[in-house]
Order: sequence, then structure tokens, then C-alpha cells
Amino acid sequence: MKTPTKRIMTITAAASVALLTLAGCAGSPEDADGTVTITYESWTPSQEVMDSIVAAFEKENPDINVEAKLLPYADYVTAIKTELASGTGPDVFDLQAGGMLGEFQSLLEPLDSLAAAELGDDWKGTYKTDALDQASIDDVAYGLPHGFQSAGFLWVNETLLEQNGLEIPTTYEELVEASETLRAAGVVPLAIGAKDDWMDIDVFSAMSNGIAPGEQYAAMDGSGKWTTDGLVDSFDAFAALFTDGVAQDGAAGATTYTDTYDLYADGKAAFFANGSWNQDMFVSAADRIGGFTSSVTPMPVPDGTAPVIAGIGGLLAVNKDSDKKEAAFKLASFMSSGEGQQILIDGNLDFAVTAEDVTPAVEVSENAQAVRTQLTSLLNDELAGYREVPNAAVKSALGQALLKLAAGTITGEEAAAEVQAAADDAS
Amino acid sequence: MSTTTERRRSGGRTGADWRRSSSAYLFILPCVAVFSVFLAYPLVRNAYVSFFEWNGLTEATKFVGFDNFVWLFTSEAVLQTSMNTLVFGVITIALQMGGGFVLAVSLAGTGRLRSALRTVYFIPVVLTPVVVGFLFSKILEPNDGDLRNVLDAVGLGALNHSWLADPNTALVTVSFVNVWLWVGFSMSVYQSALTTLPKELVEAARIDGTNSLQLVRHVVLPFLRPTHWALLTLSIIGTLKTFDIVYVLTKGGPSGSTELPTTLLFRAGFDEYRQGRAAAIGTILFLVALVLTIVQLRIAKRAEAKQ
Repeated sequence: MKTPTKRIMTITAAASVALLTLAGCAGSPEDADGTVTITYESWTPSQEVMDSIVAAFEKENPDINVEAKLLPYADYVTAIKTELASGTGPDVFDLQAGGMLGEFQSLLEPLDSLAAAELGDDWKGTYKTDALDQASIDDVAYGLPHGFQSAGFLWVNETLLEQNGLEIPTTYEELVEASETLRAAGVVPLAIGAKDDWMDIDVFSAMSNGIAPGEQYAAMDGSGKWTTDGLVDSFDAFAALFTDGVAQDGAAGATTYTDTYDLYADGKAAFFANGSWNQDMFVSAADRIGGFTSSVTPMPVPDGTAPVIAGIGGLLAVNKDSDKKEAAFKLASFMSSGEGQQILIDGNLDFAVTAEDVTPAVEVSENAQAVRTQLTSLLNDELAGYREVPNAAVKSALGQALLKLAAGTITGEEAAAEVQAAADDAS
Repeated sequence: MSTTTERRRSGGRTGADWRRSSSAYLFILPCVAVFSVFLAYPLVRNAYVSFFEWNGLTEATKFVGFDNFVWLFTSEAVLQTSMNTLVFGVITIALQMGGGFVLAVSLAGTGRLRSALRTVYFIPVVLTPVVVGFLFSKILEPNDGDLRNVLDAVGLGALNHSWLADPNTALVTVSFVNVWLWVGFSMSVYQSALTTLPKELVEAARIDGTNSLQLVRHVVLPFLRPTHWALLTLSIIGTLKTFDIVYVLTKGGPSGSTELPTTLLFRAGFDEYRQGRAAAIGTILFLVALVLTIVQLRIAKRAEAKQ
């Protein structure tokens, strides 16, 4: 006869096996009533906007249920990596263009056939070429883009400039002079969150395309080097912002959200480095910025102004291991070029990724409308190229080099060498 | 036929013994299971990953031997990171242990005021480091932050500085914030140890004519030796693990002046998708903590034996 102990152990073992077997059973794609439930994960948009999107989508597709999970960016990246690695990833999820897309590529479903089936053979024509390119690798779409945004320009508090008898600077030399006057009056000249590597990269990328057009893109796609004279000059020009009195004191320790955002919103800074997504200030900080007139202007560089860079806010990808790919694609398409795009744009005031323009249907102030017009013309006339650095390791090295330039501990030449070393290492 | 006693004397085991030990094993099974799954397995897996080049997403298949460790020990970051850890550790441990001791001694005893003050000093310990980081970022902001405004208001505007943006002051600043965060913990540990201080010892010393300072130096301090060792061990491990507060305040900058192994690990793993390098850093960090702890325990044992 088995001893009591042995019996307990046997039962425990048997129960564990039973539990594990049950846990291992995958659910069937369709629920009992014939509806399909798909899961969506991202760091964006806000819960409120997402709820509107889900409601509208489920109305249009009564046989599909959406479970959306939103997390702060860093947590989201950790969660999605863990889930995909363990096979429990969501059906549709968001990615950033550039390095992130490259790293995740092998886990994504190529969308061309799904898109042709759902939207017709000429579906690519629905999109702006730049937007779709950024969601593709070698001409194969791995996600549907959403939210076109521009960066590398400056927000301007025109009221503060007027009060100090200044005009919007159109060259770097004018910017330095204006900064002197502003500092004397106790105003922060340029509020730049230089602790954020993405901010430094945005500002630098615009400046380099103004000083040495195209050289940075060549370095990033491998056809050129980071150590050209033009790019070294650009690195030096970036560093000069922090030694010529243009950037605010302690810029190297300031974040965009919310150190410099607050300085601008509270009317303490004349210029503010941030992208087109900052239009949401007109919605979420309307009363703070209502007291002064805002406008946008290209970044001044030696002898002129720089163009802007633009990129998609993200791309909606379908999990390669999903068993509900058609439903997942429908959601991605809804959010990218369908009614969902309108809801997103109403919430964050981004630009459309579709060739056919979509404008926010919400009421905004006259100032907001004027700024949007300015941004649209910058996007149409002064666009240098894409925003996200294609390789994650090179992006990290570029960010680190720019951080050191902002802190004044290396020269432009050393910065260029560092980034080139990372580029060589990565290839 | 051997009896139970005879079998035991010859070093064998009886059926009863086995039944008793098997139920003992069952009792510790949950704890061992948790330890294996959440501590032992991740450690071993981490060490395994450190020999691969892995982006953290797909299968780890590219074996690179000791390359990640070679990178770790030959990169420029290593020297600076080690120096930073040393400086950060020394400042944090000395000030929070010393400050905690002073607070515990000054606030020892009963009384509502003392009790309230002890609570106030302990509050930072239960705050989330990320929140504290944001708080101090706002306070230390050089253009419009609270510290600047206060200094200006009292006429000390000349002392204003970009504390977190200057590579020369960033590390010390971050260390002070860390001290603020943890001094309450040391105080609380010392305080509970102090309640075990025999009153007779204090009375005897007083009768001998010792003043308060001598009392602290010659009676209290030596009495708390085990507490010192315990806190030192915890503090060293805590220092090696510090991440949140530094990441939020400076992200390891400016220019690597506050870079710690943990911020380096985070960047390698999450920004650069180089999980192998991150694993290598993690493995070395664990080994350093292990060695330091063993050394400390040995010294502490020897010191106690001497007593």
C-alpha cells in the first residue's frame, strides 16, 4: 500500500500535469457566438481616444471584438518583446519606424497580400509615398503607417519677441544676437530638452541637412560616412548652441516632457524645440499658451535656415503568429486610413498618412489654425527626408555623441568618429 | 533483525526517518520552487545569454563566446562606470548610514514629536524612486526650478548652478538625492536596534560620568556593530542595483558622468537591442555583489569571534 506521503505526492503530480495540459490548450479563433476577439497593444494613443476608435471599429465590424492594452512607451517595449518571444503576443501592435521596425521584422506578417485582398490591388496609392516607405523594408509593407509628424524646427513665442523688439531670426547669427537680448531681459532664449537623445537627434538632423544637405542620409544608408567635413561642421554647430548662449542654462539636464515644455507653456522661453505633435498644446494646455501668440519657424543655421524632417508616428503591424490575421489587418487599416485615422488626428492633431489629406474636425483656436497652415507648408516645401535612424545601435551612438556635445565634453570631430565606429560595428 | 537504534548508530536510515524527511522536503518545496523559478533560473539563463549576440526578440542563436565580456572590460565606459559606482557608493553609504545613525540617536525614545519626526524622515523610503526623480528634476531645474527660486529669494542667487547638467556636479547631486531617499531606512534599522540597548549599560556609563557624546562613541556605536554590518551589506548591494533614480534624473549623463552599470545595461538591452551585452553586465554585477557580500560576512564573523 502506498504511504500517505507517496499518495499526496502522486496526487499533486497528477494534478499539476492536468493543469499544465489544460493551460496548454489554445483557445479556438472564434468565440462561441461566432465573433472574433483580437488584441491590440501600443503606447499610443490615449485611453480616451482608443476607446472611441474601438467603439467606431466594432460598430463597423460587429463580428470583431477588440481588446486594447495601452502602456507607457518603455514599459510597452519590454512587454511586447517578452510577449512576442513567448508566443503570447497581441494580434496587432504598434512599432516605431527605423531601428525598431528592423529589429522586429522577423516577427511581423508581410502585409501586401492581406492588403490587396482587403483594399484592392492599388492599395498602395492610398498612402503618401514617404509614409508607406517608412513602414516598409525593401518595398514590402510590414505595417500600416499612422500619424505623419514633422520635427527639427522651432516653436516661437512671438509675443515675447515683440516685447523685446526682435524679429524671428532667419540665420544662426541672428539667433545668437536675439538670444543675447533675451537673456538680458531674463527670458530663456531656446528651451531645448537636450537630455532627450531623440530631441538632440531631431535638432541635429535638421541642422545637418541645412549645413550639409543629404550627407547624414548617405551616412545612415551606408553610402557615405559620418566623418565628412560637412557633418563634422554640423556636429560643431550643434555644440555651439550650448556655448553661444542660445540654449537655456542646464539644457543638457533638461527633458522635453516636461522641463522645456513647461518653460514654453508658461511663457518663459522665446523658442522651443519640439515637433508637430506639440500642436496638442492648443488642446491640452490651451489656457496656459492662450496668453501669447505661437508660430513655428525653421531652425536657423549659419547663413540660413534648415529644412524639417518628418516621420510616421508609428506603424501598425500584424503578428506573424496570429490566427486572426484578417481581423487584425482590418483594425490596422481602420486606424491607418479609415475612420480611425480621423479619430486619431482629432485627438493628436497629426498630419494624414494618406495621399488624400485629412484635417482635424475639432475646433481649435485661430492661433492653432495658423500654426497648422505654417506646418503644412513646411512639410510640403522644406522636407529633407525621414526622421527615424534606421539602425538601433547607430541611433544610440548618435544620441550619446550628441549628449556629450551638449555637455561640452567632446568635439565635433570626436562625435563624428564615435558614430562612425558604431556604424562600422553594426554593418 | 536490526533495531531502529542499531540502524541509526551505523549511519543507516529507517523508514520513519525517510517519511519524516520526505514530508520535510514537501514543506520546503514551495519555497524551493519559487527560488528556482524566479531566482536560480533567471541567473543561469542570464549567464547563458551573455555568451550570445541576441536582440531579445528572436531565438538566441549567434554564439559569440566571450566577446560580450571582452567588450565590457575594454570599452571606455567601463572605467568611468566603475569610478562612478565607487564615488556614488561611498557618498551614499557613508551619508545615509551616518545620517541614519545620527537621526536614530537624536530621535530615540518615546514621545509624539519624536515619533512624528521619525515618520517624516521615513516617508522618502516608501516613495517610488521614479516619482522622486521627477520631483527633484523639477526642484533642481536651473531656469525656473524651486531651488533656484528659493536661492534667489534669499539673496543667494550666485549659488545657482545647473546641478544635473554639469558633468562635474551631476554625480554628487544624484548621490545626495539617493541619500535623501534612503536615510530614513538606515534610521529605522538603527532605531529598532537601539531599543535593544540595555538600560543598565547606559545607566552604568552615566554613573561613571560619561557625557552624551562619549556615551554614543564608546557604548552605543560598538553595541550596534551587527547593525552596521547588516546595513553595510544591504547598502552595497543596493548601490550596485540602483537604477530608477539615476535614470530619471540624468539617464546616465551628462556625458557618462553618472553612468552606472545598470544604466549601461538598460541602454545595451533596450535601446540597442543587444541583450547579450546586457546579460554580460548583469552577470558581472551579480558576481561582484556576491564576492563583496562573502568578503563582508567573513570579516564580520571574524570581528564577532574576536569579541
